[in-house]
Amino acid sequence: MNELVVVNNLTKVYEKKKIALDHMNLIIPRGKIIGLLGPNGSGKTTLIKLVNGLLTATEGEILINGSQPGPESKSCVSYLPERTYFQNSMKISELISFFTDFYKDFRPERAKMMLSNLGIHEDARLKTLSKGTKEKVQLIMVMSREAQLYILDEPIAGVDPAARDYILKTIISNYNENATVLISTHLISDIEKVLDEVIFIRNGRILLHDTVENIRECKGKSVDAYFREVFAC
Amino acid sequence: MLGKLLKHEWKAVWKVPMLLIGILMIMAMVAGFTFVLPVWDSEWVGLPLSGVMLIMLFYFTIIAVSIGITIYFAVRYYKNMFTDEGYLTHTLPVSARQLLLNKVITMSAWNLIAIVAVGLSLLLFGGITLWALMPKDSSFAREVIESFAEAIEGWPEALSSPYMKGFTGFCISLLLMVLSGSFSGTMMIVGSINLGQMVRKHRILGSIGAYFAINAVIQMFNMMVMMPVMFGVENSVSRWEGDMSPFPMFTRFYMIMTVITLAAAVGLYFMSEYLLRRQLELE
Repeated sequence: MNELVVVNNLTKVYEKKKIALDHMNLIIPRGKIIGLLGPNGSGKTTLIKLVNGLLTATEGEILINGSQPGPESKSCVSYLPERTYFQNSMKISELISFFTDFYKDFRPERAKMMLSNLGIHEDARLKTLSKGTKEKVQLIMVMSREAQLYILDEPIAGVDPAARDYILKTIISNYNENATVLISTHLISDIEKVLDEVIFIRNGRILLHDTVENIRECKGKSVDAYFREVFAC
Repeated sequence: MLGKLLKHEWKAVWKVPMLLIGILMIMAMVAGFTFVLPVWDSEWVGLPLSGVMLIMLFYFTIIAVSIGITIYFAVRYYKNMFTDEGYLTHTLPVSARQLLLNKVITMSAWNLIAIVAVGLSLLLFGGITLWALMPKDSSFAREVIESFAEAIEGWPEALSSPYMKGFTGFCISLLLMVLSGSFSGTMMIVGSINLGQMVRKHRILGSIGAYFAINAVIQMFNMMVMMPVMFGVENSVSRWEGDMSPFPMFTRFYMIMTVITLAAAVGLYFMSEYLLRRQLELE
Protein backbone atom coordinates (compact mmCIF):
# COMPACT_ATOMS: atom_id res chain seq x y z
CA MET A 1 0.00 0.00 0.00
CA ASN A 2 1.73 3.12 -1.24
CA GLU A 3 -0.97 5.51 -0.04
CA LEU A 4 -0.12 7.16 3.28
CA VAL A 5 -2.98 9.65 3.44
CA VAL A 6 -6.30 9.28 1.66
CA VAL A 7 -8.70 12.23 1.64
CA ASN A 8 -12.23 11.40 0.49
CA ASN A 9 -14.79 14.06 -0.37
CA LEU A 10 -13.50 16.25 2.47
CA THR A 11 -15.48 19.40 3.20
CA LYS A 12 -14.99 21.97 5.93
CA VAL A 13 -17.45 24.79 6.39
CA TYR A 14 -16.70 27.37 9.06
CA GLU A 15 -19.18 29.70 10.70
CA LYS A 16 -21.13 32.02 8.43
CA LYS A 17 -21.03 29.34 5.71
CA LYS A 18 -17.41 30.05 4.78
CA ILE A 19 -16.28 27.03 2.77
CA ALA A 20 -12.62 26.28 3.50
CA LEU A 21 -12.46 22.85 1.83
CA ASP A 22 -14.87 21.87 -0.88
CA HIS A 23 -15.33 18.12 -1.45
CA MET A 24 -11.60 17.55 -1.68
CA ASN A 25 -10.13 14.25 -2.84
CA LEU A 26 -6.44 13.61 -2.46
CA ILE A 27 -3.96 10.78 -2.09
CA ILE A 28 -0.58 11.41 -0.48
CA PRO A 29 1.95 8.67 -1.26
CA ARG A 30 4.83 7.42 0.88
CA GLY A 31 8.44 8.42 0.47
CA LYS A 32 8.01 11.88 -1.06
CA ILE A 33 8.66 15.49 -0.17
CA ILE A 34 5.53 17.32 -1.21
CA GLY A 35 4.86 21.04 -1.33
CA LEU A 36 1.35 22.13 -0.37
CA LEU A 37 1.04 25.43 -2.17
CA GLY A 38 -1.68 28.00 -2.51
CA PRO A 39 -2.50 31.63 -1.81
CA ASN A 40 -3.69 32.87 1.60
CA GLY A 41 -7.07 31.43 2.56
CA SER A 42 -6.88 28.63 -0.01
CA GLY A 43 -7.41 25.93 2.64
CA LYS A 44 -3.85 24.66 3.24
CA THR A 45 -3.86 25.10 7.01
CA THR A 46 -7.44 23.81 7.29
CA LEU A 47 -6.42 20.61 5.48
CA ILE A 48 -3.37 20.22 7.73
CA LYS A 49 -5.42 20.79 10.89
CA LEU A 50 -7.98 18.23 9.77
CA VAL A 51 -5.26 15.64 9.13
CA ASN A 52 -3.97 16.31 12.66
CA GLY A 53 -7.40 16.06 14.25
CA LEU A 54 -7.41 19.70 15.38
CA LEU A 55 -10.62 20.46 13.49
CA THR A 56 -13.76 18.45 12.86
CA ALA A 57 -14.71 17.83 9.22
CA THR A 58 -18.14 18.91 8.07
CA GLU A 59 -18.27 16.06 5.56
CA GLY A 60 -16.01 13.36 4.16
CA GLU A 61 -13.14 11.47 5.73
CA ILE A 62 -9.38 11.33 6.12
CA LEU A 63 -7.46 8.10 6.52
CA ILE A 64 -3.85 8.16 7.68
CA ASN A 65 -2.21 4.78 7.38
CA GLY A 66 -5.73 3.39 7.17
CA SER A 67 -7.08 4.99 10.33
CA GLN A 68 -9.01 8.18 10.99
CA PRO A 69 -7.28 10.99 12.92
CA GLY A 70 -6.89 9.73 16.49
CA PRO A 71 -4.26 8.36 18.87
CA GLU A 72 -3.09 5.80 16.30
CA SER A 73 -2.58 8.32 13.48
CA LYS A 74 -1.02 10.85 15.86
CA SER A 75 1.64 8.34 16.82
CA CYS A 76 2.92 8.29 13.24
CA VAL A 77 2.43 11.96 12.26
CA SER A 78 4.96 14.59 13.31
CA TYR A 79 3.44 18.04 12.99
CA LEU A 80 5.01 21.48 13.06
CA PRO A 81 2.32 24.18 13.31
CA GLU A 82 2.83 27.69 11.98
CA ARG A 83 2.93 29.07 15.54
CA THR A 84 4.95 28.66 18.72
CA TYR A 85 3.06 26.00 20.60
CA PHE A 86 5.26 24.78 23.44
CA GLN A 87 4.70 26.02 26.98
CA ASN A 88 7.01 28.96 27.52
CA SER A 89 7.81 27.95 31.08
CA MET A 90 9.34 24.64 29.98
CA LYS A 91 13.03 23.93 29.72
CA ILE A 92 14.29 22.31 26.52
CA SER A 93 15.45 19.30 28.57
CA GLU A 94 11.89 18.95 29.91
CA LEU A 95 10.57 19.06 26.36
CA ILE A 96 12.93 16.26 25.38
CA SER A 97 11.75 14.13 28.28
CA PHE A 98 8.11 14.97 27.38
CA PHE A 99 8.59 13.89 23.74
CA THR A 100 10.52 10.77 24.80
CA ASP A 101 7.64 9.74 27.06
CA PHE A 102 4.86 10.25 24.53
CA TYR A 103 6.37 9.45 21.13
CA LYS A 104 7.90 6.01 20.76
CA ASP A 105 9.62 7.18 17.57
CA PHE A 106 11.32 10.18 19.20
CA ARG A 107 15.13 10.02 19.18
CA PRO A 108 16.45 12.20 22.04
CA GLU A 109 20.09 11.74 21.02
CA ARG A 110 19.28 13.18 17.59
CA ALA A 111 17.53 16.18 19.16
CA LYS A 112 20.46 16.76 21.52
CA MET A 113 22.94 16.61 18.66
CA MET A 114 20.99 19.13 16.58
CA LEU A 115 20.59 21.45 19.58
CA SER A 116 24.30 21.26 20.25
CA ASN A 117 25.08 21.99 16.57
CA LEU A 118 23.06 25.17 16.86
CA GLY A 119 24.55 26.11 20.22
CA ILE A 120 21.19 25.93 22.02
CA HIS A 121 21.51 24.89 25.67
CA GLU A 122 19.20 22.17 26.91
CA ASP A 123 18.84 23.96 30.25
CA ALA A 124 17.42 27.08 28.61
CA ARG A 125 13.79 27.88 29.23
CA LEU A 126 11.76 28.58 26.09
CA LYS A 127 10.68 31.99 27.37
CA THR A 128 14.32 33.11 27.36
CA LEU A 129 14.76 32.28 23.65
CA SER A 130 14.15 34.52 20.65
CA LYS A 131 11.24 33.74 18.31
CA GLY A 132 13.63 32.40 15.67
CA THR A 133 15.40 30.11 18.16
CA LYS A 134 12.06 28.85 19.47
CA GLU A 135 11.08 27.96 15.92
CA LYS A 136 14.36 26.10 15.47
CA VAL A 137 13.75 24.18 18.71
CA GLN A 138 10.27 23.26 17.50
CA LEU A 139 11.61 22.03 14.18
CA ILE A 140 14.33 20.02 15.92
CA MET A 141 11.75 18.32 18.16
CA VAL A 142 9.49 17.53 15.22
CA MET A 143 12.30 16.26 12.98
CA SER A 144 13.82 14.16 15.77
CA ARG A 145 10.97 11.73 15.41
CA GLU A 146 11.09 8.80 13.03
CA ALA A 147 7.57 9.49 11.86
CA GLN A 148 5.85 8.22 8.75
CA LEU A 149 4.41 11.60 7.90
CA TYR A 150 5.94 15.00 8.70
CA ILE A 151 3.61 17.94 8.26
CA LEU A 152 5.40 21.27 8.31
CA ASP A 153 3.20 24.35 8.17
CA GLU A 154 5.25 27.38 7.07
CA PRO A 155 8.52 26.06 8.55
CA ILE A 156 10.70 28.77 7.02
CA ALA A 157 8.40 31.77 7.10
CA GLY A 158 9.77 33.64 10.09
CA VAL A 159 13.50 32.92 9.89
CA ASP A 160 16.51 34.48 8.19
CA PRO A 161 17.96 32.99 4.95
CA ALA A 162 20.84 31.27 6.77
CA ALA A 163 18.40 29.58 9.14
CA ARG A 164 16.24 28.61 6.15
CA ASP A 165 19.16 26.67 4.69
CA TYR A 166 19.72 24.97 8.03
CA ILE A 167 16.03 24.06 8.30
CA LEU A 168 15.91 22.61 4.79
CA LYS A 169 19.10 20.68 5.45
CA THR A 170 17.56 19.37 8.68
CA ILE A 171 14.41 18.26 6.88
CA ILE A 172 16.28 16.45 4.13
CA SER A 173 18.82 14.78 6.37
CA ASN A 174 16.37 13.62 9.04
CA TYR A 175 13.46 12.03 7.25
CA ASN A 176 13.68 8.40 6.28
CA GLU A 177 13.15 7.18 2.74
CA ASN A 178 9.76 5.64 3.44
CA ALA A 179 8.37 8.71 5.16
CA THR A 180 6.61 11.60 3.49
CA VAL A 181 7.17 15.26 4.22
CA LEU A 182 4.31 17.64 3.48
CA ILE A 183 5.46 21.26 3.51
CA SER A 184 3.06 24.15 3.31
CA THR A 185 4.69 27.45 2.35
CA HIS A 186 4.57 30.61 0.32
CA LEU A 187 8.33 30.69 -0.16
CA ILE A 188 8.37 28.31 -3.09
CA SER A 189 11.72 29.30 -4.59
CA ASP A 190 13.47 28.43 -1.31
CA ILE A 191 12.08 24.91 -1.09
CA GLU A 192 11.59 24.05 -4.74
CA LYS A 193 14.94 22.27 -4.96
CA VAL A 194 13.95 19.72 -2.29
CA LEU A 195 10.42 18.94 -3.52
CA ASP A 196 9.38 15.76 -5.36
CA GLU A 197 5.75 16.75 -5.87
CA VAL A 198 3.53 19.77 -5.47
CA ILE A 199 -0.13 20.23 -4.67
CA PHE A 200 -1.76 23.51 -5.70
CA ILE A 201 -4.87 24.45 -3.72
CA ARG A 202 -7.35 27.19 -4.51
CA ASN A 203 -10.66 27.89 -2.78
CA GLY A 204 -10.54 24.59 -0.95
CA ARG A 205 -10.10 22.50 -4.08
CA ILE A 206 -7.10 20.71 -5.55
CA LEU A 207 -6.02 22.56 -8.65
CA LEU A 208 -3.02 20.44 -9.45
CA HIS A 209 -1.12 17.48 -7.99
CA ASP A 210 1.95 16.64 -10.04
CA THR A 211 5.66 15.92 -9.80
CA VAL A 212 8.09 18.81 -9.94
CA GLU A 213 9.84 17.10 -12.83
CA ASN A 214 6.63 16.96 -14.87
CA ILE A 215 5.88 20.63 -14.26
CA ARG A 216 9.36 21.62 -15.38
CA GLU A 217 9.17 19.40 -18.47
CA CYS A 218 5.61 20.11 -19.56
CA LYS A 219 5.37 23.79 -18.62
CA GLY A 220 8.99 24.63 -19.30
CA LYS A 221 9.29 26.67 -16.11
CA SER A 222 10.05 26.38 -12.45
CA VAL A 223 7.35 25.58 -9.91
CA ASP A 224 7.74 29.10 -8.52
CA ALA A 225 7.17 30.66 -11.95
CA TYR A 226 4.26 28.35 -12.68
CA PHE A 227 2.69 29.12 -9.31
CA ARG A 228 2.91 32.85 -10.05
CA GLU A 229 1.24 32.26 -13.42
CA VAL A 230 -1.58 30.11 -12.04
CA PHE A 231 -2.31 32.32 -9.05
CA ALA A 232 -1.73 35.69 -10.74
CA CYS A 233 -4.03 38.34 -9.29
CA MET B 1 -0.57 6.95 28.63
CA LEU B 2 -2.82 8.40 31.34
CA GLY B 3 -0.07 7.75 33.87
CA LYS B 4 2.43 9.70 31.75
CA LEU B 5 -0.02 12.54 31.27
CA LEU B 6 -0.60 12.71 35.03
CA LYS B 7 3.14 12.65 35.73
CA HIS B 8 3.86 15.59 33.40
CA GLU B 9 0.77 17.50 34.47
CA TRP B 10 1.65 17.16 38.16
CA LYS B 11 5.23 18.23 37.48
CA ALA B 12 4.04 21.29 35.58
CA VAL B 13 1.42 22.51 38.04
CA TRP B 14 2.55 21.89 41.60
CA LYS B 15 4.60 25.07 42.07
CA VAL B 16 1.85 27.70 41.83
CA PRO B 17 -0.73 26.09 44.17
CA MET B 18 2.02 25.12 46.63
CA LEU B 19 3.22 28.74 46.65
CA LEU B 20 -0.34 29.91 47.36
CA ILE B 21 -0.73 27.33 50.13
CA GLY B 22 2.64 28.42 51.53
CA ILE B 23 1.40 32.03 51.65
CA LEU B 24 -1.76 30.82 53.41
CA MET B 25 0.26 29.01 56.08
CA ILE B 26 2.50 32.04 56.61
CA MET B 27 -0.59 34.25 57.01
CA ALA B 28 -2.05 31.74 59.50
CA MET B 29 1.16 31.97 61.55
CA VAL B 30 1.31 35.76 61.30
CA ALA B 31 -2.32 36.04 62.40
CA GLY B 32 -1.71 33.61 65.29
CA PHE B 33 1.45 35.39 66.42
CA THR B 34 -0.41 38.71 66.71
CA PHE B 35 -1.55 37.36 70.11
CA VAL B 36 2.07 37.30 71.28
CA LEU B 37 2.47 41.00 70.49
CA PRO B 38 1.64 43.51 73.21
CA VAL B 39 -0.80 45.30 70.95
CA TRP B 40 -4.05 44.12 72.52
CA ASP B 41 -3.57 45.99 75.80
CA SER B 42 -2.52 49.23 74.15
CA GLU B 43 -4.58 52.31 74.94
CA TRP B 44 -4.13 53.58 71.39
CA VAL B 45 -6.88 51.99 69.31
CA GLY B 46 -4.63 51.73 66.24
CA LEU B 47 -2.55 48.88 67.68
CA PRO B 48 -5.32 46.39 68.56
CA LEU B 49 -6.99 47.42 65.30
CA SER B 50 -3.87 46.45 63.35
CA GLY B 51 -3.98 43.04 65.09
CA VAL B 52 -7.60 42.62 64.04
CA MET B 53 -6.62 43.67 60.52
CA LEU B 54 -3.95 40.96 60.39
CA ILE B 55 -6.46 38.32 61.47
CA MET B 56 -8.89 39.66 58.85
CA LEU B 57 -6.10 39.46 56.30
CA PHE B 58 -5.71 35.77 57.11
CA TYR B 59 -9.42 35.33 56.52
CA PHE B 60 -9.18 37.08 53.14
CA THR B 61 -6.10 35.01 52.26
CA ILE B 62 -8.18 31.84 52.74
CA ILE B 63 -10.70 33.16 50.21
CA ALA B 64 -8.00 34.47 47.85
CA VAL B 65 -6.04 31.20 47.89
CA SER B 66 -9.16 29.10 47.24
CA ILE B 67 -10.21 31.33 44.35
CA GLY B 68 -6.60 31.70 43.13
CA ILE B 69 -6.11 27.93 42.82
CA THR B 70 -9.42 27.57 40.97
CA ILE B 71 -8.57 30.40 38.55
CA TYR B 72 -5.04 29.07 38.00
CA PHE B 73 -6.36 25.66 36.95
CA ALA B 74 -9.17 27.15 34.84
CA VAL B 75 -6.71 29.35 32.92
CA ARG B 76 -4.28 26.44 32.54
CA TYR B 77 -7.04 24.17 31.22
CA TYR B 78 -8.13 26.79 28.69
CA LYS B 79 -4.55 27.50 27.55
CA ASN B 80 -3.55 23.83 27.33
CA MET B 81 -6.62 22.77 25.43
CA PHE B 82 -7.76 25.67 23.28
CA THR B 83 -4.93 28.10 22.58
CA ASP B 84 -1.57 27.59 20.82
CA GLU B 85 -0.58 25.03 23.47
CA GLY B 86 -3.53 22.94 22.28
CA TYR B 87 -1.53 22.18 19.12
CA LEU B 88 0.74 20.04 21.26
CA THR B 89 -1.95 18.71 23.61
CA HIS B 90 -4.21 17.49 20.81
CA THR B 91 -1.45 15.99 18.67
CA LEU B 92 -0.24 13.69 21.45
CA PRO B 93 -1.03 10.03 20.69
CA VAL B 94 -3.67 9.86 23.42
CA SER B 95 -7.47 9.79 23.37
CA ALA B 96 -9.75 12.70 24.25
CA ARG B 97 -10.86 10.69 27.29
CA GLN B 98 -7.28 10.39 28.57
CA LEU B 99 -6.67 14.11 28.03
CA LEU B 100 -9.82 15.00 29.93
CA LEU B 101 -9.30 12.48 32.74
CA ASN B 102 -5.78 13.79 33.25
CA LYS B 103 -7.05 17.33 33.75
CA VAL B 104 -10.06 16.33 35.86
CA ILE B 105 -8.05 14.08 38.19
CA THR B 106 -5.33 16.70 38.70
CA MET B 107 -7.77 19.56 39.26
CA SER B 108 -9.96 17.53 41.63
CA ALA B 109 -6.92 16.42 43.62
CA TRP B 110 -5.73 20.02 43.98
CA ASN B 111 -9.24 21.11 45.00
CA LEU B 112 -9.07 18.54 47.79
CA ILE B 113 -5.53 19.58 48.76
CA ALA B 114 -6.74 23.19 48.95
CA ILE B 115 -9.62 22.20 51.27
CA VAL B 116 -7.24 20.24 53.51
CA ALA B 117 -4.76 23.15 53.44
CA VAL B 118 -7.46 25.61 54.56
CA GLY B 119 -8.36 23.24 57.41
CA LEU B 120 -4.70 22.92 58.41
CA SER B 121 -4.20 26.68 58.29
CA LEU B 122 -7.14 27.13 60.67
CA LEU B 123 -5.66 24.51 63.01
CA LEU B 124 -2.29 26.26 62.78
CA PHE B 125 -3.89 29.60 63.57
CA GLY B 126 -5.83 28.09 66.50
CA GLY B 127 -2.77 26.25 67.84
CA ILE B 128 -0.51 29.30 67.71
CA THR B 129 -3.22 31.47 69.25
CA LEU B 130 -3.60 29.02 72.13
CA TRP B 131 0.17 28.82 72.60
CA ALA B 132 0.44 32.62 72.51
CA LEU B 133 -2.34 33.11 75.03
CA MET B 134 -1.00 30.56 77.51
CA PRO B 135 1.56 32.82 79.26
CA LYS B 136 -0.90 35.72 79.34
CA ASP B 137 -3.97 33.88 80.58
CA SER B 138 -2.96 30.39 81.59
CA SER B 139 -6.35 29.56 83.10
CA PHE B 140 -8.13 30.20 79.77
CA ALA B 141 -5.68 28.11 77.79
CA ARG B 142 -5.79 25.35 80.41
CA GLU B 143 -9.59 25.38 80.30
CA VAL B 144 -9.56 24.98 76.51
CA ILE B 145 -7.10 22.09 76.68
CA GLU B 146 -9.03 20.42 79.49
CA SER B 147 -12.29 20.76 77.57
CA PHE B 148 -10.66 19.06 74.58
CA ALA B 149 -9.37 16.26 76.78
CA GLU B 150 -12.79 15.81 78.37
CA ALA B 151 -14.50 15.78 75.00
CA ILE B 152 -12.15 13.07 73.72
CA GLU B 153 -12.54 11.03 76.90
CA GLY B 154 -16.32 11.25 76.92
CA TRP B 155 -16.64 10.67 73.20
CA PRO B 156 -17.75 6.98 73.22
CA GLU B 157 -20.40 7.74 75.81
CA ALA B 158 -21.61 10.84 73.96
CA LEU B 159 -21.94 8.85 70.75
CA SER B 160 -24.39 6.45 72.35
CA SER B 161 -26.68 9.24 73.55
CA PRO B 162 -29.98 9.77 71.63
CA TYR B 163 -29.13 13.30 70.50
CA MET B 164 -26.00 12.01 68.75
CA LYS B 165 -27.92 9.35 66.83
CA GLY B 166 -26.76 9.14 63.21
CA PHE B 167 -23.54 11.06 63.82
CA THR B 168 -21.39 8.53 61.96
CA GLY B 169 -23.70 8.70 58.95
CA PHE B 170 -23.53 12.48 59.13
CA CYS B 171 -19.71 12.38 59.08
CA ILE B 172 -19.72 10.02 56.11
CA SER B 173 -22.20 12.23 54.22
CA LEU B 174 -20.05 15.26 54.98
CA LEU B 175 -16.95 13.49 53.71
CA LEU B 176 -18.77 12.35 50.59
CA MET B 177 -19.97 15.89 49.98
CA VAL B 178 -16.42 17.28 50.23
CA LEU B 179 -15.05 14.57 47.94
CA SER B 180 -17.80 14.93 45.34
CA GLY B 181 -17.55 18.71 45.69
CA SER B 182 -13.92 18.59 44.55
CA PHE B 183 -14.96 16.67 41.45
CA SER B 184 -18.12 18.66 40.73
CA GLY B 185 -16.29 21.98 41.24
CA THR B 186 -13.74 20.85 38.68
CA MET B 187 -16.40 19.74 36.23
CA MET B 188 -18.22 23.07 36.54
CA ILE B 189 -15.03 24.80 35.33
CA VAL B 190 -14.08 22.21 32.71
CA GLY B 191 -17.64 21.85 31.40
CA SER B 192 -18.09 25.64 31.15
CA ILE B 193 -14.83 26.10 29.24
CA ASN B 194 -15.66 23.27 26.84
CA LEU B 195 -19.17 24.58 26.28
CA GLY B 196 -17.80 28.12 25.83
CA GLN B 197 -15.76 26.90 22.85
CA MET B 198 -18.99 26.51 20.91
CA VAL B 199 -19.21 30.32 20.82
CA ARG B 200 -16.39 30.39 18.26
CA LYS B 201 -15.80 34.13 18.12
CA HIS B 202 -16.03 34.83 21.86
CA ARG B 203 -14.73 31.71 23.53
CA ILE B 204 -13.77 33.22 26.91
CA LEU B 205 -17.00 35.16 27.19
CA GLY B 206 -18.85 32.01 26.18
CA SER B 207 -17.11 30.05 28.94
CA ILE B 208 -18.00 32.63 31.60
CA GLY B 209 -21.60 32.73 30.37
CA ALA B 210 -21.74 28.92 30.37
CA TYR B 211 -20.44 28.84 33.96
CA PHE B 212 -23.24 31.06 35.23
CA ALA B 213 -25.85 29.26 33.13
CA ILE B 214 -24.79 25.80 34.38
CA ASN B 215 -24.70 27.11 37.94
CA ALA B 216 -28.19 28.57 37.61
CA VAL B 217 -29.59 25.30 36.21
CA ILE B 218 -28.02 23.24 39.04
CA GLN B 219 -29.29 25.68 41.67
CA MET B 220 -32.76 25.59 40.21
CA PHE B 221 -32.76 21.81 40.18
CA ASN B 222 -31.39 21.78 43.72
CA MET B 223 -34.22 24.03 44.85
CA MET B 224 -36.87 21.89 43.16
CA VAL B 225 -35.58 18.74 44.84
CA MET B 226 -34.94 20.40 48.20
CA MET B 227 -38.38 21.97 48.47
CA PRO B 228 -40.23 18.80 49.58
CA VAL B 229 -37.32 17.93 51.88
CA MET B 230 -37.55 21.37 53.49
CA PHE B 231 -41.25 20.84 54.16
CA GLY B 232 -40.37 17.53 55.80
CA VAL B 233 -37.80 19.29 57.98
CA GLU B 234 -40.32 21.91 58.99
CA ASN B 235 -42.70 19.16 60.14
CA SER B 236 -39.91 17.47 62.10
CA VAL B 237 -38.97 20.75 63.79
CA SER B 238 -42.57 21.35 64.82
CA ARG B 239 -42.57 17.90 66.46
CA TRP B 240 -39.12 18.48 67.98
CA GLU B 241 -38.27 16.80 71.25
CA GLY B 242 -35.24 17.48 73.38
CA ASP B 243 -33.59 14.11 72.93
CA MET B 244 -33.94 14.02 69.14
CA SER B 245 -30.76 14.01 67.07
CA PRO B 246 -30.41 16.62 64.32
CA PHE B 247 -27.83 14.56 62.42
CA PRO B 248 -30.13 12.31 60.33
CA MET B 249 -31.76 15.46 58.95
CA PHE B 250 -28.41 16.99 57.96
CA THR B 251 -27.29 13.66 56.54
CA ARG B 252 -30.36 13.58 54.29
CA PHE B 253 -29.64 17.18 53.19
CA TYR B 254 -26.02 16.49 52.38
CA MET B 255 -26.73 13.23 50.60
CA ILE B 256 -29.33 14.85 48.35
CA MET B 257 -26.97 17.72 47.54
CA THR B 258 -24.15 15.26 46.87
CA VAL B 259 -26.28 13.18 44.51
CA ILE B 260 -27.46 16.25 42.58
CA THR B 261 -24.02 17.83 42.16
CA LEU B 262 -22.46 14.45 41.37
CA ALA B 263 -25.08 13.74 38.70
CA ALA B 264 -24.51 17.20 37.19
CA ALA B 265 -20.73 16.65 37.26
CA VAL B 266 -21.00 13.27 35.55
CA GLY B 267 -23.26 14.83 32.91
CA LEU B 268 -20.75 17.64 32.38
CA TYR B 269 -17.94 15.10 32.10
CA PHE B 270 -19.62 13.18 29.28
CA MET B 271 -20.60 16.41 27.53
CA SER B 272 -16.98 17.59 27.74
CA GLU B 273 -15.65 14.33 26.37
CA TYR B 274 -18.11 14.48 23.48
CA LEU B 275 -17.18 18.10 22.68
CA LEU B 276 -13.45 17.31 22.75
CA ARG B 277 -13.89 14.26 20.55
CA ARG B 278 -16.45 15.51 18.07
CA GLN B 279 -16.48 19.30 18.14
CA LEU B 280 -12.84 20.33 18.56
CA GLU B 281 -12.03 23.48 16.58
CA LEU B 282 -8.65 25.00 17.35
CA GLU B 283 -8.17 28.53 16.09
